[in-house]
Amino acid sequence: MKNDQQQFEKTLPPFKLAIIGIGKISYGSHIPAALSSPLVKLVGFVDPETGRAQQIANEFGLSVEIASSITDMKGEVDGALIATPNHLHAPLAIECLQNGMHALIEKPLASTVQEGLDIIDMEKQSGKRVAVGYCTRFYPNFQLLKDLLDEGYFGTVKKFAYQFGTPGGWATFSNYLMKRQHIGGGVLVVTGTHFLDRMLHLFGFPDDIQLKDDSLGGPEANARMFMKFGQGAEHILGYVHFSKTTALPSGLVLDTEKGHVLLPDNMKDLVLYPHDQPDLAINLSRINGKPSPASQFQQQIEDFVLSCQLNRKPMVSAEEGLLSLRLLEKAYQHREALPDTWYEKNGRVQ
Amino acid sequence: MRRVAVFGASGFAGTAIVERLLARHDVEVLAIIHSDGSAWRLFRRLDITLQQVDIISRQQVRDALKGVTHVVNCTRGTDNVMLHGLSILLEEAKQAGVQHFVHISSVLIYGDKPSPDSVHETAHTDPQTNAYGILKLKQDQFVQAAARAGLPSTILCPPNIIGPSSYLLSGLINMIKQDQFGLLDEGNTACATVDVANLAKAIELALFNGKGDGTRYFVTDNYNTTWAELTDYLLPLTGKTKAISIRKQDIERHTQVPKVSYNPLASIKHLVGSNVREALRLDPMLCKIDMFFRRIVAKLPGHLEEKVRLTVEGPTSIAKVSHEAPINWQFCSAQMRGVFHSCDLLQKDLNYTPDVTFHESMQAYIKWHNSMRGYDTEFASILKRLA
Repeated sequence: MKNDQQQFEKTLPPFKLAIIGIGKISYGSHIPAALSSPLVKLVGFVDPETGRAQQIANEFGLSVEIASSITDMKGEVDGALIATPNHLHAPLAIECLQNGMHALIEKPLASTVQEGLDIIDMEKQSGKRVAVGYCTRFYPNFQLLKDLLDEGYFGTVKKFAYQFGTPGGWATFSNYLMKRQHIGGGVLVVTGTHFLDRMLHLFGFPDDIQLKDDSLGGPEANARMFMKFGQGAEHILGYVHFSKTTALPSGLVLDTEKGHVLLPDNMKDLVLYPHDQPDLAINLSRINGKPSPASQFQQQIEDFVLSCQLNRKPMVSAEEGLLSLRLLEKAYQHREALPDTWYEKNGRVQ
Repeated sequence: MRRVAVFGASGFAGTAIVERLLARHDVEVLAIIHSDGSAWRLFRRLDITLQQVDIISRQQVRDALKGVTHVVNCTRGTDNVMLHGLSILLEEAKQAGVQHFVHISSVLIYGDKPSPDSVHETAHTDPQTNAYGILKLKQDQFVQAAARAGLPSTILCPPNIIGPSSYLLSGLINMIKQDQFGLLDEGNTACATVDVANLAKAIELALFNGKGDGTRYFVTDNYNTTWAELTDYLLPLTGKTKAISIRKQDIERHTQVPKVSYNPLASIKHLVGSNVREALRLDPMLCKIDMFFRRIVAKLPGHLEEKVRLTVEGPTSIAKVSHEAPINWQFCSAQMRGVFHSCDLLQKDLNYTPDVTFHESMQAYIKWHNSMRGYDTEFASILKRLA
C-alpha cells in the first residue's frame, strides 16, 4: 500500500513553492528542505529585504523570483511557506489564500486566537489548505510514543514532565526579537509551543492551567506551567518548563502504570524504566520501523504538499494550530509571577 | 541624569550590573548587546533601553555613545572583538567625553600558575601560555593607556564568578556527575570566588567613585574558600557522595603545551596516507592519478607491496582504551593556582564590602538550580530521569 502511494506521488507534478520571509529559519532549514524534496520546485522568495533574499538565492545557486511582497510575484505559485515574524503570519496567510495559494505557516499559526479564526475562515472560503509548521510532530520517537499510548501499552498515565532550556537562542537576521511586541509572547511561544502542540496531540486540552513566568512587562524568558487533564481519579498532572536563560536537559518523562517513560528530544530514543525492574532501561523501537532519511523539515513540506495535491488533512491542521493558540491565550490569562529572587538576604541581583 | 552604557549587557556579569543600576532610579541604563539571541533575560523587562551594536563598527559605537556619561565593558568574543573592538570603544568613549570607563578583566592575566605575591594587584602580570589571559592583559594595557591619555578608567579583576545561574558552577556539576572533575590534594587548594552580585556592586562603586587612573582591583567575596568546600556544596546536586581524586603530576602531564616539531618525512607520509588520499579521490582527476599509482604498487611483488604500504602508512596503531571517564584536565588545573586574591585595595580605595557571603551565594545557587530543574515540585522524581 505504502509503495503504491509512493509510486502515485511520483506521478504528481512538482509543487511550485514560494518562501515568504527569508530569515534564519528559512536559510538554515526550510530552503534546504525544499531543495532536497523531489516533490517541490522552489520558485520564489518574498521578503522586504530583497537584497538579502537575492544573496541567499545566490548562495544556494537558485534562479528564483525575488519579490518584496506577495502581490509583486509574477510567476505561478501553488503554495507558500510563511516564515516571518509571528505578528505577520495571519495577514500574509490570508493574502496567500486570497491569491489562490495554499499556506504552510511556521509555528505558531498566528498571534491571537481571533487571527487564527480569521485564517480558518479564509481557508474555508478559498478552498485552499493551511498547515502549521510544528515539525517536531514528525520525530519518529514521538510518533512511536503516540502509537504506544493509544494502544495502552504503558497502562495509565499518572503524570508527565517536560523541560527544554538553552542559554539564549539563535540570533535572527532581522533582529525582530529586539522589537519585543512582535514576538507575541516569550519563551512559551517561541520555544514552548512546539511541545505544547505535541502535548495537545497526546493528552488533549488541559482542564486546569497555571502559568508562572518571569516577565517584567516584556516577553518572559522562563515559563513553568502546571496542568491537570481530566477530573476524578483518572486525571493526569503535567508540568512543563521552558527557559531561554538556562541550559536544561531536554525531554519528556511520563510516570505510567508500567514505569517511567523517557522521550529525549533526540528524535530516536524512547526508553522505558519498568517499575518492577528498577535496574533496567528498555529502549523501544518497531522491528519494521525504518526512519525516513529526510529531515523533519522536508517531511513537513512534503506532508503539506501532499495534503494540497491529494486534498487530505495535513499532519498539523489550522484547527490544531488554533488549539495551541487557545492554550497559549488561556495560559497567559492566568499567569502568575515566577519567584525570581534567590538570595536569603542582602544580594540585590538574582 | 547620568547615562550608563553597558557593553556586553547580555552576559552573566553584564546582566547583573544592568539590573543593579536599574534598581537605582537615578541613572539611565543603556544595555548594549551584540545580537538578539542571548538577551532574553533583558527582553523580559520593558524599563530598559536595549541597543544592538557591533563593537567593531566605529560608527555604531559612536552613535551608541551619544550622551553617555559612563561605560562598563563586559564584552567577550573573538580576538578581533576583544582587541580591535576595545580600542574603538576606548577611543570613542574619550571622544564622547565619557566621565568613567570600567573594564572587566580577569585574574588569568597572572597566568594559570600565578606567583604567590599575586595576592595583591601589584604582582608582576604574566599570563604564561593562557591564551585568554594574554588577550585580557593586552586589553588591560589598552585601558591603562587610555587612562593615561585622559579617559578616566578603572579595571576590575574577578576570579571565578559564582551565584545563581553561574556557568562555572553548572559546568562543575556536570563534570562531577561524569567524573570529569577530580579534587587535587583532597580539595584543600585555594579557590578564589566572587558572587555576581558582589561584582556588580564593585562595578557600580568603580563607575561613580573610581579614581579613574587605570588602577586594577581584585574583586572577590573576601573569603578564603577551597575547592573541597565549593564541591561539598554541589555534591548533593550531582547524585554523588564524593568527587574523584586526581594527582598534580597528572594535571601537569595533560596540560603541558606540546612542542611543535616539523618533520618533512612525517608530512610526506601524512600527505600520501590513506585519509588524505581518500579525500583527494573525490576529485575525478586526482582519483585517476591515485588509481594509476595503486596499479603500479599492485604490480610489485607481494613483499615489496607490503613494504611500500608500511613505509607510507606505518604500522597499524591501536590506541589504549581507558576505563575511566576523560577528565577535563584544563579545568582541573585551576586548582593549581593556589592563590587567594585580596580585595583589600578595593576596600581601601572604594569602600567595597561584599553584599553576599560565599555561603549565601552557594545557598542561592542551590535554590536557583533546584527551581530551574523543577526539583522543588512534585515532579522531581520523574524530572531526575532527565538529569
